[in-house]
Order: sequence, then structure tokens, then C-alpha cells
Amino acid sequence: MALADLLYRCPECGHDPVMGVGDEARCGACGRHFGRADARGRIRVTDPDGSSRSRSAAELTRAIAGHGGPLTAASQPGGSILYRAEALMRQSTSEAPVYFRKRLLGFAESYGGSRSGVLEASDDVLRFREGDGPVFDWGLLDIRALQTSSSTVQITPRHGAMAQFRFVSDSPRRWEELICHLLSEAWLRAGRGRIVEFQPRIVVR
Amino acid sequence: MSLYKPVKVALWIFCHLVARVRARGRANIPGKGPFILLSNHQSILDPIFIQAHCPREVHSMTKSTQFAQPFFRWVIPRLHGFPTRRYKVDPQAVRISLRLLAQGHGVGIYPEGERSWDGALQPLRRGAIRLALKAGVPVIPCGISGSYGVLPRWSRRPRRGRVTIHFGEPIVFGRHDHKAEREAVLERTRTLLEEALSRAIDPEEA
Repeated sequence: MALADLLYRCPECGHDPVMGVGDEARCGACGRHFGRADARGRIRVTDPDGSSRSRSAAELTRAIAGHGGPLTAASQPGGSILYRAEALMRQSTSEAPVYFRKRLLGFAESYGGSRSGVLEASDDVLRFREGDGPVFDWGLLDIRALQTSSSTVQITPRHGAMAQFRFVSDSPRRWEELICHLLSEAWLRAGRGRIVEFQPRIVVR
Repeated sequence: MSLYKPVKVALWIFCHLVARVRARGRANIPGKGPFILLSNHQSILDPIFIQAHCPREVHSMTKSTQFAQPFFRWVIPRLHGFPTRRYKVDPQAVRISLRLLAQGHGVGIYPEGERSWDGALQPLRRGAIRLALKAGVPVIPCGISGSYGVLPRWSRRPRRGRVTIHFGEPIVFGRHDHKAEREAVLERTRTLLEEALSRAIDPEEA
């Protein structure tokens, strides 16, 4: 992963997306540069005029949320949401028991092959298109859990296998926040209540 | 064959190569008997820092994804890790935790569910709170600070820094056998544990 996964849009001017590699990122609109500042996990923000300051990651993520999080790039005229990104998708195929000293410790999922395609998010569905191949749809009201695992985003549908997405050149944090937002809105619209927890299953209040 | 003790020595050496580690409150870990160690999660290195510096052996609840590869499926149980499926309710992980506690072991849980993106403490998952209430054993809030600076989630390059592990004073909630009892105190317990974890995290190094 990279700093641009954390700062997927500019915390200063709100431009989306921020580009970068490794521990460096740059906003193409305001020209600010972001880099790892010190061993305390702070991030150095350098203005185009060369002046710089260090800010905590939490301050910068709060600033991104203040700009609307992942929504600006996904919002369409009329207020609907559509966003897409290249992704690799794998589905869990089975859950194998894990033994130690002949005692059952628990279960761990196994995955099928990876499919390359495009993941789309809209107001009511997550859709994965595999090139010229099959299309997978998950209605937002049918999703029962959402979580990130390292650099992937995983969804658990009511029926069918858990699906895991690894993004080719987009931020898993953006997608986590975007899907959380879409799920919250969809469940609220359907009168199911306000989602307060997304894993291990969606809990509403 | 358990690899725990020899690996712990190797982990201790590794920890002090990548960071200046200070462990406080080690006396708060019970000398014997069961306990639950609840820790915040800032970095992929946290389990290493904690396992190397906790005076007792800890059986860690580990995300099932880690067991996908045969090598890790072999090695993690030998380091006292057991799987939990986070994408669904996992009663087997609860059963194993309760069994280990009944046998007098320590169980380690990262109740935020996943590493923090920005180092800040995230809301604690209810499953971990329910387990603590059901087990009724001492809960040790463990605040780890500075590991975000050493290796944050978004970076691949560790950078040497200072890490503080603070084992807080044990909290005993008592055993709540019935679901209704647990649910009645769930939110209050969660707030209490979040406050205890926040106190255990060193603000200078978080």
C-alpha cells in the first residue's frame, strides 16, 4: 500500500484523486506534496512555495472527511452515486478446518482463482464485470457484512460466497468508506435503520 | 511442537532492532490464571511487540485470512494463534477462547477488528466485549503507542522509532452467563474499555 491509499484525496484542497507511490503523494490541483515526516507517523505537508509543516494522519483523514470523503468523485448530477475502479476479485470457495495437535482450532476460508475486471458502485448495487466474461451483482440490501483485510475489501452477501476485492490502482480505504456510505444510505432508505457496525455482520439501531 | 518460547526470543531481538521498545505495567499481567489482553492495533508489528514483551504466553485471536497459505496454517498455531472469521459470526473462535481461558491461559484480542488507517483508536467490536463479559476473567487493557510510526498500515518500509507498550490494570466485570445480562451492560462496558485503552495509549507517541 501507499500513502495515497490513506490520502486518496487532498486533505488541503479536496481534489480527488491524489497520486503517489510509496511514502510520497502529490496533489495535482494545489501542488502540495505529502510525505512521511518522522518516526512518530506524522506526515509532512509541503506547500508549492516550499514551506512545510507536519500533521498527524488522524488530522489529515478528518480533513478528508470534512471535504466529503469519497463522495465528490462518485456523485453524479441528480445526487446519485456511481464510481468504478479496476480490481481483482476472488471468492471464498470453502472453509477448511485448522487443527493443532489433533484438536480443532477453527476454520479458515480458501479462495478460488482471481478474476480481473471492473468494480462499480452505485446507489443500489455493487457490480463486478470481468472483461467480456460474467457479471456479478450484489444488491446493497443483500450484503450482510463489510470489512477490510490488509489491502483488500471483503463483502459477505446473504446468499453466496464472500467476495474479496484488491484494487489495481485505487485506494482500498476509499472503497471501504464509499461502500460503508452506500450501505448506510440504502439500509436507511429501505427503513431498516441506521447501521452502527459492519462486521462480523451489519448491525442496525 | 510449540515454537512459542524460541520464537519469542527471536521476536524480542527483532523488536529491538526495529524500535526502542519500552514495556510498562508488566506487573499487571496476572502471574497465573486466565486473562484477556485487549490491545489497540496500529501496525502489523503489534502482535510481535506484544508477544515479545508480555510476561505470560498469549493465545492470539488471528484473522482467518492469515491461515490461507499452508506455511502460515502450519506456523501460526505453533505460535499460539487461532483463527477467527471476521466476515461472519464465528462461534468456534468464541468456543476456543473460552476453552483456553478455562484452562488458565491468556487470550489476546484486537477488539478494533483491523489495523487503524490513521493510528487513532477505532470503535471496539461488540463480539470482543461480549466474550469478556461471558468469560468473567480479568481484562488487561493494553495500549501500544508508536508502532504506527514504525510501520503504518499504508507503508511498506519500517522506520526505527520508539514504541511503548502499557499493560493497564486488570478490570474485572464479573461473569455474565445470560445473554440478556450481557446485552444490558454491553455499551457501558464498551465505553469503559475504550476509555481504559485510551488512557493506556501514550499520547506523546501515539
